[in-house]
Amino acid sequence: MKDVSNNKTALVELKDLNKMFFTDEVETNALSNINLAIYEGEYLSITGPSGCGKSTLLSLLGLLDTPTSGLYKLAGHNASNINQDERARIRNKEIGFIFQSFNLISDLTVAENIELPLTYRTDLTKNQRQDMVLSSLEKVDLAHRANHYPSQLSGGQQQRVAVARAIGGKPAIILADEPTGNLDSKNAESVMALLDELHQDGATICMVTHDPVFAARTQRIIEVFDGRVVSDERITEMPAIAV
Amino acid sequence: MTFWIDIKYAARLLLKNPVFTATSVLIVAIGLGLTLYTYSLLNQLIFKPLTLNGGTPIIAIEGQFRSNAGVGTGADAYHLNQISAETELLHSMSLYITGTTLIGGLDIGAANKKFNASFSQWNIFEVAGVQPILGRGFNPQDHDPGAEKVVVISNDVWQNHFSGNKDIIGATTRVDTVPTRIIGVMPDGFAFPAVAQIWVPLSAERVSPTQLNDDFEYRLLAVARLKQDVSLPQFQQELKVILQRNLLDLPQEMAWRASSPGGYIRAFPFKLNNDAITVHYSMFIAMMIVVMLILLLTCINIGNLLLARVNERIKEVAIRIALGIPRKRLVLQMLWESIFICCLGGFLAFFFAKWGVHITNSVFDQIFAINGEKPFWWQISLDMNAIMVLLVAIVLMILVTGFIPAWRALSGDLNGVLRDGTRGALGKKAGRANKILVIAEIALSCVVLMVATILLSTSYSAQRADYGVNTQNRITATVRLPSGTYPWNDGAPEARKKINSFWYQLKDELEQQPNIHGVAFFNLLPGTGNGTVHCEIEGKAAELYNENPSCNHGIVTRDAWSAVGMKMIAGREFDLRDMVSEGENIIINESMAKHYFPNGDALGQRIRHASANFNRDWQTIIGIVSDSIHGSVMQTTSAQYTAYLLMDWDPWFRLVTAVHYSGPQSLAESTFLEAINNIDADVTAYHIQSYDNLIKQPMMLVNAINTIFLWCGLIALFLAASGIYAVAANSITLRKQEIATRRALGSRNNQVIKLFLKQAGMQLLFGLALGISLSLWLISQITQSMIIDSNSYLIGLIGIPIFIIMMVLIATYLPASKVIKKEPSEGLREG
Repeated sequence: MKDVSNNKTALVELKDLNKMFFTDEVETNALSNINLAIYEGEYLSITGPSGCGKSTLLSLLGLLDTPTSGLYKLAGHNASNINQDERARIRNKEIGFIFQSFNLISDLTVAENIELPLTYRTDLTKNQRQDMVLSSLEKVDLAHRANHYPSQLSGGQQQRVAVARAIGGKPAIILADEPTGNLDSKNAESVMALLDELHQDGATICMVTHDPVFAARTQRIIEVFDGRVVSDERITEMPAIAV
Repeated sequence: MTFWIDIKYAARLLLKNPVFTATSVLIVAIGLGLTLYTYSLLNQLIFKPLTLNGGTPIIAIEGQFRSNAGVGTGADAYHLNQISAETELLHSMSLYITGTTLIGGLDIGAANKKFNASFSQWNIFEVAGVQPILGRGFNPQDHDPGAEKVVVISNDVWQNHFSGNKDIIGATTRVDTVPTRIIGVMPDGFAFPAVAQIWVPLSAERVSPTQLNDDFEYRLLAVARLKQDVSLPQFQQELKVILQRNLLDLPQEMAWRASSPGGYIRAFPFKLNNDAITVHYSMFIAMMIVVMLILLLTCINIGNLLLARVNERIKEVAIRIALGIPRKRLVLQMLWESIFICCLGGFLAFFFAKWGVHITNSVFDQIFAINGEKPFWWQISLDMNAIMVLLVAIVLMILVTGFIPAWRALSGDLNGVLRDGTRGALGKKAGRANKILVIAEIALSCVVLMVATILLSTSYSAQRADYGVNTQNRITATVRLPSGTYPWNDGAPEARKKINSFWYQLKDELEQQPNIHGVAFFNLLPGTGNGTVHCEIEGKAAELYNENPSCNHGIVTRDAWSAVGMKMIAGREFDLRDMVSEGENIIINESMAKHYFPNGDALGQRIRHASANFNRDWQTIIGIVSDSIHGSVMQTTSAQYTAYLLMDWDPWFRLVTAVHYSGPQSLAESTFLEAINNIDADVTAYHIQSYDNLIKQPMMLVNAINTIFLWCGLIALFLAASGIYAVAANSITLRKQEIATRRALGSRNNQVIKLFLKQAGMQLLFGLALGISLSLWLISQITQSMIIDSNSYLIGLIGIPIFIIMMVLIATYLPASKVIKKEPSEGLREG
């Protein structure tokens, strides 16, 4: 699929994507006929009320879950029916995750948490990994906290570590699931500023949020309701945000 | 009221999860049942002092010789009487010796029957604190040389042998064909000192010798009762002082008594005065340790199961705390589940233990069915003490298993749980606890399985070992001559001739029968017996007698070897030439010849007893016979080296025979009994059985103990497998979110599995190192009284760790693979 206006190839392409959950005898249609393309360098947000399916959509985008039917292409390759190992490889190299509850591993230090996904790669030496960790930590301004444990950091700092971990491997796309959901407004703003900065540096970011203010900071807002994309709005200019 | 709400809630939770409840109750029932059973067994057999009639503890006072590997033996009656006269801490003391006698009926000509006898000092019943139900006990005059021969019989002998004859007191029967008056009948079940069925007073000469004596005849055992409030260690101290005083200035040939390792005479709890207990004491202790480890394993498992449940319910606990539940009430609420599980398990445990006790009593009856030598206290039951132990164990288990989850519920960042349901904040502590649990489970199961495997394998090998004899188509029996008809007369030639002529006449008569191909008489048949004595090789005498080589001394008839499948290797067999020179010649076995005469020059060499206790005439080696082992190969007291003396030079009242036959065994047995009857109807044969059975007999108790070990091993296996699985599953559940995160970050499934297997590997390393070290220590304790088969070490030390490694890896792999079957998004959501 091509974005005619920009003449860019879609990084992510979803076609007629469906996801159903089966619990006991209840069948829940979480996502229905999702058609979506995300282009390189885009900064988009997925919004909608609780339980509308936005996190499920993000899970499918991040290959954390498999669609019930439909097509999912990542960088032109069909990712709908690939095996677990291949999905793991793609998650590791092409996707960076930021979770609402940070999901840092409490037994590992800040630096080790950031290094963790890099250790899953076989093409990096220890020195290269350490350089990448340092560079990520500097980007989030936490180099001085490299040897601390997550429990020693504030919520905002923990989420910045999660951001550093997401960008550490230079992924093709960063997927953020309510990255400010567990933070106070000051820390939330700091994390959002970090995402803005990453976008300005060229990162492709897809963020799930139910906060319209944060959604408004992105270039494109996709609204999901009842498992369907009900609106896909592109914003040409960045609105002014009061700090 | 709130109390009742908590109880109902706990009951509801248990009913809601019947698999968990059933598993927990079963684990508790098995753990407590095994504990109760073992407590009752060991308490009855070993630990509970023998008191009789509620008196003070009864103790044994016996000789102690290093070469007897701890098995007590008679001591010089002279010294025993010195102790009795000088002690201030004993209430009473009596001397005795055990043996067998032949008892006839009340009519002349009634058939003799063999009974276990206690040849005792007159006050034996006073020490026991039990008096006859009919007639009288002994008095000091019964020892007098001219006194009428009297006997006291057991209730069982009265009822069964004398058909409960009401005029039994004063009646005359024949004891070893000597007319003897029955003066008393003891109460039902009384068999003191251990297996006695009749009691005969010793002669004054034996019970009260006027001088020191090294003859076997003057060696007696003693039984004593401590005074009120006197402990055994106190008396042991007094005994030491008395012996120090009395063992001074002994004649040269008895000087060794003063320097005997561990003391010449020692005192110990009477229940230990049993070869089976003495020889296998370390095994019983090992069993106790193993059962305690299993109880620990049970506690760990239940604690872990409840811990896993709290982990599942941690959000609920957090909400309760947020709602203001007092800590005390929360702990109580956690305890209720433990109370239900432990009480129900304890109730079932009682029945499990009762079942085990019933089986054990049947096994004991089987073991002693042939020789009738089951000590009277070897009857296990679940008494009030056992019930108290069960109740205490239940309470302890409730506390241990209830407080683990309570601690878990009260520790950790419950705000974090409430905030977002993450378990990371709690995971670190719980993870450490889980690691310790797994290491403990691995170590404990390793100990139990290793010890059980090594012992079982050793016992299996012992039963299949080559004892150097052919047991096929061989029956064995003990043949006892009545001393009245065959008097000893200090070994006078006429007496000896009469006795020997019986043995050879029986041999000849039997060998003329078409179904009998050979008959041999031994004092103890190869494959049975145990114990060695020191022998001196001419020209190579050691400075101290007990530093000389040790060997078993066997007694054998002429032309005996083929009847038991042994053969001469060199030299010659005993024959009429050996009748010319009294007791001068000896035949030794091949191993002894090779070991002590490595140059192959054994024939013609001379050996003799090293101890002054025996005849010390030199004996010339005239032949070398093929090897046989006397005793089980797993017993340290068994003899590999045996020197055989010709029977003819000593009058032997009792010998064990091996009869090589063809055709049905029953026919051989009747031929054998008929032959005895034809020669002398007063001679009695008993313990008639196959040779195979005879060899297995001493191992039956070990087998029974090993079977208990096997059950312990299987229970430990079940507990360890379920426990390790539960711990691994719990640990993996706690880390579900971490696993999902790792997978989200690109970790492949096999990397996740590897991560857990690697952790399991580390736990295995620690657990096995600990378990193997503990096992080796336990086995080293057991090897003090038992020879472990070298192949058993191989199976135990290599097989069991491999088995445990596989078990742990599977127990880790299964829950890990279950988690990775789910999509990572599910894990993140559930987190």
